[in-house]
Amino acid sequence: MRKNNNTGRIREGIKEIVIERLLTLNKDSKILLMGFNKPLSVKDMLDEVKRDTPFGKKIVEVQFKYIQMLANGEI
Amino acid sequence: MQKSILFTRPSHDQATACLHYFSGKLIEEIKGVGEYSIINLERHKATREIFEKSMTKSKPRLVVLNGHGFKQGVCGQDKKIILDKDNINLLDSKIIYAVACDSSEELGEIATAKGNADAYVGYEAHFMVVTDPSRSSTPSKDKNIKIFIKPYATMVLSLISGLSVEKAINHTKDTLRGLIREYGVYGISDKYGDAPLIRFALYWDLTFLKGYGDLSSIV
Repeated sequence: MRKNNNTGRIREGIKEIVIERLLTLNKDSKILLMGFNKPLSVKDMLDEVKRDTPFGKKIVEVQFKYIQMLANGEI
Repeated sequence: MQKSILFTRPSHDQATACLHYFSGKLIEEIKGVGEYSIINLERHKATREIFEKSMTKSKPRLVVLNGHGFKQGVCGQDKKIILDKDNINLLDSKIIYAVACDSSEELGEIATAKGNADAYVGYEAHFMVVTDPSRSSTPSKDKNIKIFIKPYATMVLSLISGLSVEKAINHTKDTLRGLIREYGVYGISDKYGDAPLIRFALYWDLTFLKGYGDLSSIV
């Protein structure tokens, strides 16, 4: 039970880090994604993360890996 | 006999217009080499019927699918499905590079296991590109999307230069890593502050690029 709580807390912590990171980006910058009809802005990405959509969860997962990679000097 | 490469190139919204532009540039380059004949299914030709006829008649060794997609299929013009499990047998003995969202998550397995494709390369999540906010409606003038042509083209050019699918994937991943480094370290002109997002999108594409089937296959 405690382990589950810890995992949930860590996940929320990571999500907060990713949100903070996204807040540093130009909010008007846009991405094109195959599968979406129109471009998404950084603000849209933030909304996806905050709403925990499948795409938002992927953003968190990849952003966190990306931050770790930068911190480890892998690239 | 000259080998052929088939491209599907729908263009009906900003995302497909971007891939249409990428593939157009790549086709110009391949034509310059002159060793391959190109089957160019662009815009209204990117239909299921024409795709099926072209695949059967021309028997391309390499198939480059551009467009929207879903877990079990790829779309052509106007988001109409051109490839799914019902015509997956068309991929028999072929190498496929699919730049279509989510398509590799299940279609990669289906293409190689059921369709007998030699190999299938795709993205397990939406292929991501960053646009220049001031030029987003004109791909040829958009400096941001041009960055993403390089890894896109590297995959295909590596394959046609004789590298195995595995080596072509690794080469493309190295290209993506190189671009991430370039945008992180050097003094790139970044008028709109897009460089951090570009680095993230490149890393996204690096993360989700994946191959299925016999990765020692060569074109």
